[in-house]
Amino acid sequence: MLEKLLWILGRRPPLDFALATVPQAAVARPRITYESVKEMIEDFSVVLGVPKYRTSKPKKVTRKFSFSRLLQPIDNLVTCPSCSNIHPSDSICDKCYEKVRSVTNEIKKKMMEYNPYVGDKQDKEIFVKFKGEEIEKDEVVNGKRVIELEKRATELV
Amino acid sequence: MSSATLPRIGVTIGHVAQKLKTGGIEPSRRARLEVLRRIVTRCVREERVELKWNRAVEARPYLERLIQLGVERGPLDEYTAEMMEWWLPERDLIVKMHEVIVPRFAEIQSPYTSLYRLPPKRLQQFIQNKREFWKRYDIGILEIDKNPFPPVLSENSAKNEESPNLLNLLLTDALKNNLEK
Repeated sequence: MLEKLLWILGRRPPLDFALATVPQAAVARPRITYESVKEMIEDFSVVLGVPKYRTSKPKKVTRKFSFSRLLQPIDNLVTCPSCSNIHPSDSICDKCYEKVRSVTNEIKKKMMEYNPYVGDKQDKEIFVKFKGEEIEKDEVVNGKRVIELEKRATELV
Repeated sequence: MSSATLPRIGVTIGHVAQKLKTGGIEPSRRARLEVLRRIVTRCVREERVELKWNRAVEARPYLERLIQLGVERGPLDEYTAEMMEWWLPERDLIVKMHEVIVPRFAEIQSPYTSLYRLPPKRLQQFIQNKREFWKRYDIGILEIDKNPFPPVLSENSAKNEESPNLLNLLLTDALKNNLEK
């Protein structure tokens, strides 16, 4: 029986009476536990740094809404090669487009002159004829609906 | 019938669908579709429209798909007819779609539409107690290609844009200013 026990324990000090000393540092100190949250906070307040003075209102407001927060620089500006207008690089030039828009609106006005409630339809392609222009060949028009503008192309653009 | 066999449309798809609001209907999927339908109808009628940028981006794939259905399947197809009827509630526009717009793109690959962006614009909304209220708008121009209007991007600007060099730009500007004087 004893032999078996020795075999299980392996190489151990012999089972005999001896003096044992335990070093003081090795003693596991009990972990800090708190009874309640309040108790913990009270303890921590000694450890953590806390603001000594209240942050003033203007400082807070400046931090949140200073000019660097409200205004942001636009750094993608480019120059329009045809009219030198400055616009963001991801958009088209609005100055150039204003001219296009005015011509478009003139054509649209004429294009919309039909009444769908009496059976009119936009069933033909549209050919735009500016004032003073003459249609050289009928093949160009070829069954298209001709819209005549009252202004010259140079006046509009 | 589904549109599964159609080729992919040539515009960007797959962005997060937005809650488009409209007066009279509570913001919902139905209200969103109603807004989109209005935009598509207006686009087909006018061929070039200015919209809020986000709405133009949302509506473009729908317009593109509608034109593609007409091009690929033709007016006799059942599904196409159903779609045309829903997206274009006005009869004369269905005629315009099949007789004017679709024949333009008979031998052309998608995209059939173009989208341009204008610089953001601030517009005054109203004045309350002597205080002015301004609002910033991102504007997009949605158009069906090969329309009778003058091109949004002129050939001249496209040619000059090849050089991104600042020095080149400054020199051309200086030259132009000198010539004007």
